[in-house]
Amino acid sequence: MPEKSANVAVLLLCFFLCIFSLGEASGEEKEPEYWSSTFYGLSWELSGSFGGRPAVLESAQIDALSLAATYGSADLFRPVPLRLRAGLGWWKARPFMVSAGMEIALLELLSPAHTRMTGLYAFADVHMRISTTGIRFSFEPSARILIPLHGMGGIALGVGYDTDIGLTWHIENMNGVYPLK
Amino acid sequence: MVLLLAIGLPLLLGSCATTFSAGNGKLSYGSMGGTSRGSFKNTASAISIISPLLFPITKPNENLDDLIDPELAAKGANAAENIEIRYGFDLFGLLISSVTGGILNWGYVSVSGNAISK
Repeated sequence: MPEKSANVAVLLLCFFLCIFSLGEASGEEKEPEYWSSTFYGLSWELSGSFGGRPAVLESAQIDALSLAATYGSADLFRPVPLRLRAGLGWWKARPFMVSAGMEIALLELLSPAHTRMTGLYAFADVHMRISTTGIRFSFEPSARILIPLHGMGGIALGVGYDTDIGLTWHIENMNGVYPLK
Repeated sequence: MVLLLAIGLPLLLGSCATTFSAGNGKLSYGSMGGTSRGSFKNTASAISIISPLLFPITKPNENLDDLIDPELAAKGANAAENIEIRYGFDLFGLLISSVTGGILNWGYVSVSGNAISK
Protein backbone atom coordinates (compact mmCIF):
# COMPACT_ATOMS: atom_id res chain seq x y z
CA MET A 1 0.00 0.00 0.00
CA PRO A 2 2.75 2.57 0.84
CA GLU A 3 4.48 1.67 -2.43
CA LYS A 4 1.25 2.35 -4.32
CA SER A 5 0.89 5.71 -2.61
CA ALA A 6 4.45 6.61 -3.54
CA ASN A 7 3.78 5.74 -7.18
CA VAL A 8 0.65 7.87 -7.23
CA ALA A 9 2.59 10.71 -5.64
CA VAL A 10 5.37 10.55 -8.22
CA LEU A 11 2.85 10.41 -11.08
CA LEU A 12 1.00 13.45 -9.76
CA LEU A 13 4.25 15.36 -9.36
CA CYS A 14 5.22 14.49 -12.97
CA PHE A 15 1.78 15.62 -14.15
CA PHE A 16 2.14 19.02 -12.49
CA LEU A 17 5.71 19.42 -13.77
CA CYS A 18 4.48 18.74 -17.35
CA ILE A 19 1.74 21.35 -16.98
CA PHE A 20 4.32 23.76 -15.64
CA SER A 21 6.64 23.17 -18.63
CA LEU A 22 3.84 23.50 -21.23
CA GLY A 23 2.55 26.68 -19.66
CA GLU A 24 6.01 28.20 -19.65
CA ALA A 25 6.50 27.38 -23.33
CA SER A 26 3.20 28.93 -24.38
CA GLY A 27 3.69 32.15 -22.39
CA GLU A 28 3.00 35.33 -24.39
CA GLU A 29 5.45 38.20 -24.83
CA LYS A 30 4.55 41.03 -22.50
CA GLU A 31 5.48 44.63 -21.89
CA PRO A 32 8.39 45.07 -19.50
CA GLU A 33 7.15 45.75 -15.99
CA TYR A 34 8.65 47.33 -12.93
CA TRP A 35 8.50 44.11 -10.99
CA SER A 36 10.02 40.79 -12.03
CA SER A 37 7.58 38.20 -13.36
CA THR A 38 9.41 35.56 -11.32
CA PHE A 39 7.98 34.79 -7.92
CA TYR A 40 10.15 33.84 -4.95
CA GLY A 41 8.81 32.65 -1.64
CA LEU A 42 10.30 31.58 1.67
CA SER A 43 8.16 30.22 4.47
CA TRP A 44 8.41 28.68 7.91
CA GLU A 45 5.81 26.09 8.66
CA LEU A 46 4.76 24.17 11.74
CA SER A 47 2.78 21.12 10.72
CA GLY A 48 1.40 18.05 12.31
CA SER A 49 -1.32 15.47 12.39
CA PHE A 50 -4.45 14.92 14.44
CA GLY A 51 -3.27 11.48 15.51
CA GLY A 52 -6.11 9.82 13.64
CA ARG A 53 -8.80 11.63 15.65
CA PRO A 54 -9.62 14.87 13.84
CA ALA A 55 -12.43 15.76 16.24
CA VAL A 56 -10.10 15.82 19.23
CA LEU A 57 -7.71 18.76 19.07
CA GLU A 58 -5.85 17.50 22.15
CA SER A 59 -4.64 14.59 20.04
CA ALA A 60 -2.91 16.94 17.59
CA GLN A 61 0.83 16.35 17.43
CA ILE A 62 3.64 18.25 15.77
CA ASP A 63 5.24 16.49 12.84
CA ALA A 64 7.79 19.04 11.62
CA LEU A 65 9.05 22.59 11.63
CA SER A 66 9.86 23.19 7.98
CA LEU A 67 11.54 25.79 5.83
CA ALA A 68 10.09 25.85 2.32
CA ALA A 69 11.19 27.79 -0.76
CA THR A 70 8.77 28.62 -3.58
CA TYR A 71 9.53 29.51 -7.16
CA GLY A 72 7.21 30.38 -10.00
CA SER A 73 6.35 32.66 -12.90
CA ALA A 74 3.53 35.18 -13.19
CA ASP A 75 3.32 34.36 -16.88
CA LEU A 76 2.28 30.82 -16.14
CA PHE A 77 -1.52 30.38 -15.95
CA ARG A 78 -2.16 33.96 -14.83
CA PRO A 79 -5.65 33.25 -13.47
CA VAL A 80 -4.31 30.59 -11.10
CA PRO A 81 -0.50 30.79 -10.86
CA LEU A 82 1.33 27.50 -10.36
CA ARG A 83 4.55 27.49 -8.37
CA LEU A 84 7.12 24.89 -7.44
CA ARG A 85 8.04 24.43 -3.82
CA ALA A 86 10.59 22.42 -1.89
CA GLY A 87 11.45 22.24 1.76
CA LEU A 88 13.17 20.59 4.68
CA GLY A 89 11.58 19.84 8.01
CA TRP A 90 12.43 18.39 11.40
CA TRP A 91 11.00 17.98 14.88
CA LYS A 92 12.27 16.26 18.00
CA ALA A 93 11.69 12.50 17.88
CA ARG A 94 10.10 12.78 14.44
CA PRO A 95 11.58 11.71 11.09
CA PHE A 96 13.63 14.22 9.10
CA MET A 97 11.43 15.35 6.22
CA VAL A 98 12.21 16.43 2.66
CA SER A 99 9.28 17.78 0.63
CA ALA A 100 8.68 18.87 -2.94
CA GLY A 101 5.53 19.83 -4.74
CA MET A 102 3.30 22.48 -6.22
CA GLU A 103 1.50 25.54 -4.95
CA ILE A 104 -1.60 26.70 -6.81
CA ALA A 105 -2.80 30.21 -5.99
CA LEU A 106 -6.56 29.71 -6.34
CA LEU A 107 -7.25 33.25 -5.19
CA GLU A 108 -4.42 35.64 -4.51
CA LEU A 109 -4.26 39.32 -3.78
CA LEU A 110 -0.85 40.96 -3.99
CA SER A 111 0.14 44.08 -2.07
CA PRO A 112 1.05 47.30 -3.95
CA ALA A 113 4.68 46.23 -3.51
CA HIS A 114 3.87 42.97 -5.33
CA THR A 115 4.26 40.77 -2.27
CA ARG A 116 1.85 38.18 -0.95
CA MET A 117 -1.02 39.80 0.91
CA THR A 118 -3.89 37.38 1.18
CA GLY A 119 -5.18 34.38 -0.69
CA LEU A 120 -6.42 30.85 -0.88
CA TYR A 121 -3.89 28.24 -1.93
CA ALA A 122 -3.93 24.56 -2.83
CA PHE A 123 -0.77 22.55 -2.25
CA ALA A 124 0.23 19.14 -3.56
CA ASP A 125 3.37 17.86 -1.85
CA VAL A 126 5.38 14.67 -1.90
CA HIS A 127 7.12 14.02 1.43
CA MET A 128 10.10 11.80 2.08
CA ARG A 129 10.43 11.00 5.80
CA ILE A 130 13.79 9.67 6.83
CA SER A 131 14.21 7.88 10.16
CA THR A 132 16.35 5.14 11.66
CA THR A 133 13.70 2.62 10.64
CA GLY A 134 13.82 3.58 6.98
CA ILE A 135 12.46 5.98 4.39
CA ARG A 136 8.76 6.54 3.82
CA PHE A 137 7.12 8.43 0.98
CA SER A 138 3.72 10.07 1.11
CA PHE A 139 1.55 12.43 -0.86
CA GLU A 140 -0.33 15.30 0.74
CA PRO A 141 -2.89 17.58 -0.87
CA SER A 142 -3.64 20.53 1.40
CA ALA A 143 -5.19 23.97 1.42
CA ARG A 144 -4.11 27.24 3.07
CA ILE A 145 -5.78 30.54 3.74
CA LEU A 146 -3.37 33.45 4.09
CA ILE A 147 -4.14 36.12 6.67
CA PRO A 148 -2.22 39.34 5.89
CA LEU A 149 0.01 40.30 8.81
CA HIS A 150 3.14 41.92 7.47
CA GLY A 151 4.64 43.53 4.39
CA MET A 152 5.72 40.26 2.80
CA GLY A 153 2.76 38.03 3.56
CA GLY A 154 1.31 36.74 6.78
CA ILE A 155 0.16 33.70 8.64
CA ALA A 156 -1.40 30.88 6.64
CA LEU A 157 -3.65 28.34 8.29
CA GLY A 158 -4.33 25.07 6.55
CA VAL A 159 -5.46 21.49 6.62
CA GLY A 160 -4.59 18.56 4.43
CA TYR A 161 -4.50 14.82 4.15
CA ASP A 162 -1.23 12.92 4.19
CA THR A 163 -1.36 9.37 2.85
CA ASP A 164 1.07 8.35 5.60
CA ILE A 165 -0.10 10.18 8.72
CA GLY A 166 -3.71 11.08 7.96
CA LEU A 167 -5.43 14.40 8.49
CA THR A 168 -2.92 17.22 8.93
CA TRP A 169 -2.82 20.84 10.13
CA HIS A 170 -0.47 23.63 9.10
CA ILE A 171 0.49 27.01 10.56
CA GLU A 172 2.78 28.84 8.19
CA ASN A 173 4.56 32.17 8.19
CA MET A 174 4.20 32.65 4.44
CA ASN A 175 6.41 35.15 2.61
CA GLY A 176 6.62 35.81 -1.10
CA VAL A 177 7.51 38.51 -3.59
CA TYR A 178 7.85 39.49 -7.21
CA PRO A 179 11.13 41.41 -6.75
CA LEU A 180 11.51 45.02 -7.80
CA LYS A 181 13.58 45.23 -10.99
CA MET B 1 -10.36 42.28 22.68
CA VAL B 2 -8.26 45.42 23.18
CA LEU B 3 -5.13 43.29 23.33
CA LEU B 4 -6.17 41.54 20.12
CA LEU B 5 -6.67 44.88 18.37
CA ALA B 6 -3.42 46.24 19.78
CA ILE B 7 -1.54 43.31 18.29
CA GLY B 8 -3.62 42.75 15.18
CA LEU B 9 -4.02 46.29 13.89
CA PRO B 10 -0.30 47.10 13.61
CA LEU B 11 0.28 43.75 11.95
CA LEU B 12 -2.52 44.34 9.45
CA LEU B 13 -1.14 47.79 8.70
CA GLY B 14 2.11 46.06 7.87
CA SER B 15 0.55 44.79 4.69
CA CYS B 16 -0.75 48.21 3.61
CA ALA B 17 0.67 50.72 1.16
CA THR B 18 2.75 53.70 2.17
CA THR B 19 2.77 57.40 1.26
CA PHE B 20 5.12 59.23 -1.07
CA SER B 21 6.11 62.88 -0.74
CA ALA B 22 9.01 65.29 -1.11
CA GLY B 23 10.54 67.12 1.84
CA ASN B 24 11.03 70.36 -0.12
CA GLY B 25 7.55 70.76 -1.59
CA LYS B 26 8.78 70.41 -5.17
CA LEU B 27 6.83 67.28 -6.01
CA SER B 28 4.50 68.73 -8.62
CA TYR B 29 2.40 67.92 -11.61
CA GLY B 30 2.25 69.82 -14.90
CA SER B 31 3.64 70.16 -18.39
CA MET B 32 7.36 70.82 -18.14
CA GLY B 33 8.94 71.59 -21.50
CA GLY B 34 12.62 72.48 -21.76
CA THR B 35 15.70 70.63 -22.90
CA SER B 36 15.89 66.91 -22.18
CA ARG B 37 18.99 65.86 -20.22
CA GLY B 38 18.27 62.13 -20.35
CA SER B 39 16.65 59.71 -17.98
CA PHE B 40 17.56 59.01 -14.39
CA LYS B 41 16.88 56.37 -11.77
CA ASN B 42 17.74 56.28 -8.09
CA THR B 43 16.92 53.78 -5.36
CA ALA B 44 17.04 53.88 -1.56
CA SER B 45 16.35 51.34 1.17
CA ALA B 46 13.06 51.69 3.01
CA ILE B 47 13.52 49.90 6.32
CA SER B 48 10.78 49.64 8.91
CA ILE B 49 9.57 47.63 11.87
CA ILE B 50 6.22 45.96 11.01
CA SER B 51 5.15 48.75 8.65
CA PRO B 52 6.47 52.02 7.15
CA LEU B 53 3.31 53.58 8.58
CA LEU B 54 4.11 52.51 12.12
CA PHE B 55 7.82 52.32 12.89
CA PRO B 56 9.87 53.57 9.94
CA ILE B 57 13.64 53.40 10.35
CA THR B 58 14.42 55.12 7.05
CA LYS B 59 11.90 57.28 5.17
CA PRO B 60 12.97 57.64 1.54
CA ASN B 61 9.28 57.67 0.59
CA GLU B 62 8.80 60.97 2.46
CA ASN B 63 11.95 62.56 1.05
CA LEU B 64 11.84 61.76 -2.64
CA ASP B 65 13.77 64.98 -3.28
CA ASP B 66 16.82 63.26 -1.76
CA LEU B 67 16.60 60.73 -4.57
CA ILE B 68 15.74 63.15 -7.39
CA ASP B 69 17.90 66.21 -6.67
CA PRO B 70 21.33 64.52 -6.92
CA GLU B 71 20.36 62.92 -10.21
CA LEU B 72 19.18 66.23 -11.69
CA ALA B 73 22.31 68.00 -10.46
CA ALA B 74 24.53 65.33 -12.04
CA LYS B 75 22.81 65.89 -15.39
CA GLY B 76 22.75 69.66 -15.18
CA ALA B 77 18.96 69.67 -15.03
CA ASN B 78 16.53 71.52 -12.78
CA ALA B 79 13.26 69.72 -13.43
CA ALA B 80 11.95 66.23 -14.04
CA GLU B 81 9.05 64.72 -15.92
CA ASN B 82 7.54 61.27 -16.36
CA ILE B 83 8.43 60.50 -12.76
CA GLU B 84 7.70 56.94 -11.71
CA ILE B 85 7.83 55.88 -8.08
CA ARG B 86 7.96 52.23 -7.12
CA TYR B 87 7.98 50.47 -3.79
CA GLY B 88 9.02 46.85 -3.56
CA PHE B 89 11.35 44.21 -2.23
CA ASP B 90 14.18 42.05 -3.49
CA LEU B 91 15.44 38.62 -2.46
CA PHE B 92 17.44 40.11 0.43
CA GLY B 93 14.24 41.70 1.71
CA LEU B 94 12.47 38.35 1.39
CA LEU B 95 15.21 36.70 3.44
CA ILE B 96 15.12 39.41 6.13
CA SER B 97 11.34 39.25 6.39
CA SER B 98 11.35 35.48 6.56
CA VAL B 99 14.03 35.30 9.25
CA THR B 100 12.36 37.96 11.42
CA GLY B 101 8.82 36.65 10.90
CA GLY B 102 7.82 39.79 9.02
CA ILE B 103 8.75 42.10 11.91
CA LEU B 104 11.59 43.77 10.00
CA ASN B 105 10.79 45.01 6.49
CA TRP B 106 13.66 45.83 4.16
CA GLY B 107 12.19 47.25 0.99
CA TYR B 108 13.22 49.75 -1.63
CA VAL B 109 11.83 52.99 -3.03
CA SER B 110 12.87 53.61 -6.59
CA VAL B 111 12.34 56.84 -8.53
CA SER B 112 12.94 57.24 -12.24
CA GLY B 113 12.10 59.89 -14.83
CA ASN B 114 13.41 62.25 -17.46
CA ALA B 115 15.71 65.11 -16.45
CA ILE B 116 14.81 68.50 -17.97
CA SER B 117 16.73 71.76 -18.14
CA LYS B 118 14.48 74.82 -18.20
